[in-house]
Amino acid sequence: MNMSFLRADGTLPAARAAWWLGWLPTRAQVAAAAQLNFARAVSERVVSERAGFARADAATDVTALSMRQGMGLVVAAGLAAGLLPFVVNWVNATRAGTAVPMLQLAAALNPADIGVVGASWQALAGLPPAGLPGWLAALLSSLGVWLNTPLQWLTWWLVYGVAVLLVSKAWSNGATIPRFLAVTSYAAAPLVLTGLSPIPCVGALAAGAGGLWMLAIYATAVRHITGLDWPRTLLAMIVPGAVVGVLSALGAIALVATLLRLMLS
Amino acid sequence: MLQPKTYPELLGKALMLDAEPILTMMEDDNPWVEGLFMVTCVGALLGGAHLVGGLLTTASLPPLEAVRETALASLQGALATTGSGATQVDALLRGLWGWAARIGGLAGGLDRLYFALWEPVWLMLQWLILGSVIHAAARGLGGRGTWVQTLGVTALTTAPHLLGLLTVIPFVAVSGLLTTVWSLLIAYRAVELTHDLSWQRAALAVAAAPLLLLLALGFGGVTLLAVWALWGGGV
Repeated sequence: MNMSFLRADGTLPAARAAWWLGWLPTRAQVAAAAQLNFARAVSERVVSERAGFARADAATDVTALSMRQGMGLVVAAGLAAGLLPFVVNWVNATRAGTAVPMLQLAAALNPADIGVVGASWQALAGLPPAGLPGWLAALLSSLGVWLNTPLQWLTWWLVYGVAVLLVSKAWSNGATIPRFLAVTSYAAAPLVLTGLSPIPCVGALAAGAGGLWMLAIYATAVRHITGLDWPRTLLAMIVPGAVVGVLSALGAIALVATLLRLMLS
Repeated sequence: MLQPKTYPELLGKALMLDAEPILTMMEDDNPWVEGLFMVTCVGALLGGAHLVGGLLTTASLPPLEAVRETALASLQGALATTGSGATQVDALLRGLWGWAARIGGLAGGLDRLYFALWEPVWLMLQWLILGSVIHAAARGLGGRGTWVQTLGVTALTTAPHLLGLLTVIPFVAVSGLLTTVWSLLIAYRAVELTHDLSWQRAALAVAAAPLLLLLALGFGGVTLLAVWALWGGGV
C-alpha cells in the first residue's frame, strides 16, 4: 500500500527509494537487459510518453541508467563473481597458513617436472608469513585477490567501452560516454556465472555460458545505444581487439628479433 | 578559498564525468590553488595507503630475503640454458629486484617512507605537465579557457587515482590503464567545457599529452640506442 501523505507545509515528501537504487539498476532493468529486451523497454517509454505520462517508467526502462548505476552494477557483479573463489581461497590459505599468492604459486608447480628450482619455490610457499599470523595473512590476501575481480572488470568496462565508442563514432554520433558506459554495463551481469568456476566441470560450463551471454548483451547494448546496424556494431566491437592484437604481435616480434640478434652477436 | 570538505563530492562526481564539479572548479576564485591543494590531499592519501599496504604485504609474505634468493635462483637457472654470463646477470637482477621492491612498497627502512612521500610529488608533477600540455593544445585548437582554469579543472583528473586507496589491502592491484584512461576521460570532459570546444577538438587536445609522452619516449629510446652504438656497444 502506498503511504504518501502531505507535509504540514502542503508539499509531498520526497519519494522514498532504497539507497542502492542510486548505485544500481533495478532488478526489472537487469532482467530486461539479460533477455536482450532493449528495444521493448524503449518502445514502452515512447508509448507512455505519447500517452501523456510526464515521467518515463525508469524502473523498467533499460536505457534509463546513470554511469554511477552502471559502475555499481559492474562492481557488484564482480564482487558476486569473486565471492565463491574468495571463500575457497580463504579456506585453503588458512589451512596452509600462508598468503593466497604463495599458495597459488605452490599449486601451479607440478611436482613431476618442477626440478630443483621448483622445489625451492614450493618450500618457500610453505614458509610462514614474516610478520602476521598465518590466518590473518590468509584472510587479508584472500580479500585482496577478491577485490581484484571488480577492479579488472572496471578496467575492461571502461577501456574497452571507450575504444568501442570511438570506433562507432566513425558512423554514428548518437551516444555520450557516460550513457554508453552505463548501458553497456549490463554485460557484466551474466559474468556472475564465472564465479562458479571453482566447481569442477559445471564451473567451466557456467563460465563459458556467462561469457557468451555477456557478448550477446554487449552487442545488443552497443547496437541500441549507437543506433548502428549489426555488421557495423560487430565491427566496432572487433576493431579495438584487432588493433591491440596487431600491435601486441608487432611488439612481440620486435622483442624476439632484438633478443635473437643480441644473443647471436 | 580552499574548500577541502567538498573534495570527496567533487572527485566522486568527476569520476562519473559530471559537468558540475568542472564548473565548480572553473568558477572558483583561485582554481589552480584549489587544484594544487586537491592534488596534494589525494597524493598524501595515496602515499599513506601505499605505506600501510606495503607493510601489510611484507608481513603477509615469507621473509623477503628468502623470496629474493629463490626468485634469483630460478631466473639464473632459466638463463643458464642460454649460456649468458651468470655474474653479470646476477648483479643486474639484484639491482632490478631492489628497484622493484622499492616501487612496490616492499623495501624496508626509510625507502618505504621515501616512496610514500614521493607519491604526492609525482602526482603534482603529473598534474602540472598534463594541465599545461592540454592547455597549450586546447588554446592552439581555438579554446577560450585560461591556464589557471585548465589547471583547476585538470586537478579533477586525480579522482581515479583514489582507487589506489584499496592498495591498503595486500595484493590489491589497480590497473594503471584504468586510472590513465579514466583520467583522460575526465580531462576530455573538462577541456570540452572549460575551452568550449567540439568533442573532436577536445579529444585531440587531451590526446596531445600522451602523444607527446610517446614521442618523448621514442626519441629517448632512439637517443639511448645511438649513444650505446657510439660507445661501442654495437661493435
